[in-house]
Amino acid sequence: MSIFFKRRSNVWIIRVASLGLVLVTALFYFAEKNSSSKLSCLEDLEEMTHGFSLDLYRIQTDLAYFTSLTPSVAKDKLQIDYGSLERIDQLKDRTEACHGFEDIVGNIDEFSKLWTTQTLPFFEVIRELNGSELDMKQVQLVTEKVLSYQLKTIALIEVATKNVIERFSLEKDGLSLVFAFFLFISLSISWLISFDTAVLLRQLSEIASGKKSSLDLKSSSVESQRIGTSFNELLRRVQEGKEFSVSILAALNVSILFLDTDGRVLFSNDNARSLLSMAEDGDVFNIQDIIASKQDQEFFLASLQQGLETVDKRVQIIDRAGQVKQVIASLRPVKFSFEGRQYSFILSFKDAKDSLLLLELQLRQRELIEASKMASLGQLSAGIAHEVNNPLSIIIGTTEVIKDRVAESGLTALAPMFLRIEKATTRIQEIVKGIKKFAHPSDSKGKWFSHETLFGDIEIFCRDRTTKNGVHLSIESDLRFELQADLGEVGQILVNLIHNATDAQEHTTEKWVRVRVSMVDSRLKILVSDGGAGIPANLRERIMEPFFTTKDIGKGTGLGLSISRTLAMGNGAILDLEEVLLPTTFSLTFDASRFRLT
Amino acid sequence: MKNMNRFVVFLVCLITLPTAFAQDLIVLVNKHNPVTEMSKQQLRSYLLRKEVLWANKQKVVPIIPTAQNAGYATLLGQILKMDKPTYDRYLIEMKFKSGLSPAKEMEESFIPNVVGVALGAIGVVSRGSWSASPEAMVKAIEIVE
Repeated sequence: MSIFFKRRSNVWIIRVASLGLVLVTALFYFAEKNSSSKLSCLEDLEEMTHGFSLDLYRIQTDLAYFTSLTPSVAKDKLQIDYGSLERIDQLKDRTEACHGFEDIVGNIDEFSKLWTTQTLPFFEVIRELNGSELDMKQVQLVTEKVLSYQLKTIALIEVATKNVIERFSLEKDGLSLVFAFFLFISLSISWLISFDTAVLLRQLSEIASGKKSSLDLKSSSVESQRIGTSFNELLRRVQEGKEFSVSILAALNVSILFLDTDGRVLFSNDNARSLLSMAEDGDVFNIQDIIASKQDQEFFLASLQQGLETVDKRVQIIDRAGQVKQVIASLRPVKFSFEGRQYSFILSFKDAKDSLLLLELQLRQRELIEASKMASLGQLSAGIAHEVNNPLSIIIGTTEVIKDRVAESGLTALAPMFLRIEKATTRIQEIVKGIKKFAHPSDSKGKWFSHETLFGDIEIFCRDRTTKNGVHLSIESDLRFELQADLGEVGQILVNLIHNATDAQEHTTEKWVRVRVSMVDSRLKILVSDGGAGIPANLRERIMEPFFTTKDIGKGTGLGLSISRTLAMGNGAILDLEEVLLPTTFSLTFDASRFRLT
Repeated sequence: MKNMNRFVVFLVCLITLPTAFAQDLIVLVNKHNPVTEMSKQQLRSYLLRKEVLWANKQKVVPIIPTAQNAGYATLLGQILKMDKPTYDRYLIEMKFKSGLSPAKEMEESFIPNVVGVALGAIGVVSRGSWSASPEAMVKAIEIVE
């Protein structure tokens, strides 16, 4: 049907044509109504005049009978039906309502005039008299004269009325036919116009229900086609936007779940489905189904109901295959609806492994910063060492000379003083040597040395101090190994750790330091533990920073651990504080390339 | 001279006017009615239904022209001596007092027909509307002063 408008429809043409049709239809409607009104009026006239005609004939019959009686018998008054005689006023009123029929109206006026001025008074006279008071022959003559004239008039009216009614019936029928035709055309055009709308609505409904992907209005009007083109373009953009969003979600290296406030998972990206071992279409489940710990389940449900945000919470999840995984979960409240669903939260998961890598990266970054600090500190230390070393050499040399002179002079009582000077200067020499080592790491890292050598040196260096402080030092090794590193630097690291452990137990009753060796994941770990009170959690991250110390003022420089860490790095090892809080344990870890078992 | 002529014309008009009015109307009765003349007063009594029977006990049926006819105004002015509102009021009072129907009003030209039908009828028409003929069933009677 829409072919009628196909490719040549124009809104204004349709509007003007529709308006014209409506006007023409209205014109014919009113013409038909006017015609019907006149026809009705004429039909009334016809009916009324016909009534008069019948009355006249009846009167004629009655009078004929009455006048046939002899005067002696006709003592009674004339008995005729005068009911209709009074209806002349109604006829007049109705005649006034019928306009445009002068000949009929003129005849009716004439009839009415005759009726009121002749016929009616004549019959009234007769009615009031009886037969003996009338000249019956004359009554008969006059009655015939009156009635014939009235009947003639009324016959003229009836004929004229019938003719006009016939004409008007035809006219009315014609007008009705034309009116019906234009009404049909108007309705047809309305239907044709609404046909496009119906098609549009149907297709939109199909698109909304997902049965159809775009509007197909090729057989519709030009305007509808334009609507279809614009709508399809809009749909395309929406689809692109959707695909863009979905592709971003799919490309994210983070598992995303969209939840409602009850914790029902309404959407998941590829990463999440992979993490949770879900099928492509995905089954509907709640987050309680994937969070392993009851406590965590309650925590997340409470957060969902209260609209709270959770950042980087470490949780265990159980994927759809039943495997337990460690993840870092973040929950963020959102408010949006998509495809008829109300999303309230986004729950994102990061694999804990990824998180560890990130932590490692952060650690490296921190080490770089520290290395930068160390470089500056190294340059400063080298300068100080150089400046201290020269006067120190003079002091040592001069002291030797004075010591010899004093020995020669026999002042033996001064010998212990010289011994203390000697010890002090030796101590200064060691410190300067250590500073120089920190500033200029040794190149002797390619040599192998045994664990006996390492632990023997350590015991020699530390035994005196630990014994002096009442600390039991134990060095245990079930493994026999060799290390490819700088013996002095590795020894310095361990000595530093043992000294720190000794200092940390100043107020402890059970004082001990334990050095042991273990293999973890093909790595060799030398662990130094102590019986101290432990390192507070808030200080554990800063413990390796340069100049950071927990010792009393004047007792520590805060450089020991940081120097040790730098030395460890220089020897391909990692110095770290183990996670366990007690006992406090530092580990020096060598990878497989740096050790061999013997 | 001119004024004299005008005065003479006025006098002639003044003298002849009542007669001229009286002569404009003709009183008709059924030809079987024995009456040949009547006074104006009698005529007035018949028309106003003060007299309802003839001398021979025949019922008087008065018939007058309708208001649209020329004789109506003359009748009211010359015979009945009252204007139309007064006449209408008189008819209403008469109907309520005596129950008599008033004089029938009908087309002037038709009055002779009705007078010819009713033996006791008396009709008043203007002079131009009737002419005497041998076969007429009515007769004109003389009105005497």
